Amino acid sequence: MQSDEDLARSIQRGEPAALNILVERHHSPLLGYLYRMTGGNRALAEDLTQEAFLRALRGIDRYTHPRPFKAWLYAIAANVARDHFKSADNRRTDSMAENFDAPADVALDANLVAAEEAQSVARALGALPDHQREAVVLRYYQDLSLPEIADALGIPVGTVKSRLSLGLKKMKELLGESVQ
Amino acid sequence: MNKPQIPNPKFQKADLREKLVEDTGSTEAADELLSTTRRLQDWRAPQPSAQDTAKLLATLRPAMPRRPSAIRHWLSAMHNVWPVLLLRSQFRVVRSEIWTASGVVMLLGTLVTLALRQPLADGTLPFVLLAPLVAAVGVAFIYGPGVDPALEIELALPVSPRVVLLTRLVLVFGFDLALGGLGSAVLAVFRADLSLWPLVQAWLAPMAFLSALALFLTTLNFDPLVGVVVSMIVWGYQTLRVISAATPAIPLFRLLPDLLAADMRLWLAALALALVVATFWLTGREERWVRSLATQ
Repeated sequence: MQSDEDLARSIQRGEPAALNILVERHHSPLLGYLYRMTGGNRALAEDLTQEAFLRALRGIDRYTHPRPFKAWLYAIAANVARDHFKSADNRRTDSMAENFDAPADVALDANLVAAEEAQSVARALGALPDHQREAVVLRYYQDLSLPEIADALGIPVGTVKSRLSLGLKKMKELLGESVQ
Repeated sequence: MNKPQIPNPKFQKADLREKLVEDTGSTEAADELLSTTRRLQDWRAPQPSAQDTAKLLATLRPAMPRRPSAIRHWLSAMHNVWPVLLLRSQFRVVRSEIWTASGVVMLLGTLVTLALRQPLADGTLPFVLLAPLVAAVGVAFIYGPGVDPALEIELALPVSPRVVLLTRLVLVFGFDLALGGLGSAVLAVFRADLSLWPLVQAWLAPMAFLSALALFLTTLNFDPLVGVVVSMIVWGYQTLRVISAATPAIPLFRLLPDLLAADMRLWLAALALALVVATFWLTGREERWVRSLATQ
């Protein structure tokens, strides 16, 4: 199987087949990342996923081999999400937990307990500061290594660890309250 | 109907604990947070369908970079080659007057040669007399104190002054060679009595010798004016020799050898080479001297 890094180089050379493979490989994980970063807003997550891929493709000449492509792509996706929430129209003045809409697929689920549990997790995650949420989502949902997260967010590994620790502790408190 | 809950492999207890230990740096903290992180799997993200991916790909394809042509690919690869980078950087540093002055004088030499239709006394063309002097004056101003305001900075950089000097020599002498070739081609086209190769042969060795002499003297004396003045004297003598060819009453100009004679070309080329080698040796010596002053 061709590595992401080799595929990125093929895209730089203008080979469309490489784009198909990379998009098929990363579409679902990237959508998952942005879905969680937008508090479960699927339509918005899809728009941001498309924007992230477009930015990556337009800036593919700036990708330098052998930097891990995954970290490079998630760095772009993280910027796309930040830019979206930074713009005046989309600025969040209160926590995401208050704006959270139950995801459609969960709401349709007949298992109400599971749906409620999913909502609790989403609300707790949404209540975290953006920088802690980014780290938790990249680590536990996207399965990135600590150096990959550090690369994607442009911070030292030690900072990633402290953000994860603080984020998870806060989540534990929030989930404890919601369970009780 | 209930959706079956498929266990997510990313949230296996053992793997998750291992990750937590790595993140928190302690087993106690990992055990404390294990149940919290396991609960993360309860919030599942939607999976895009094959149609969603196809739609996304259709949107992305127009933004796909175009396949570069072989020539463009080669040019872009050459862009980052070290000698090319050096040539580009030095092109910006070399005094711009050198390019303009050389171009204008060579153009005038070509026009005068075309207009005269007749060679000078001993059959020498004005263009052949001008080309070596233009190159020598240009080369004298490529490097050194008084010419290069950034000389001290250059000495502090990892690129050796020898390499900088060589790069500038290639640029300026190459430019003058190209101008000489172009002027000769124009003359060969518009004057039926002239052929390209004999014309190039007539100025090539003198140009190399005079430029090497100017460069050597400039580097030796830390002053481009010395290089310019001496090469002008040498070439002035040669010009008077040509002009006075029909006047046997001035034997003074016959004392020294004719630098434009065909049998002198090999000697001039060898001398030019020796002078360039000596210049590079001198540059290295100066560099060591300046560096030793800086570290004292």
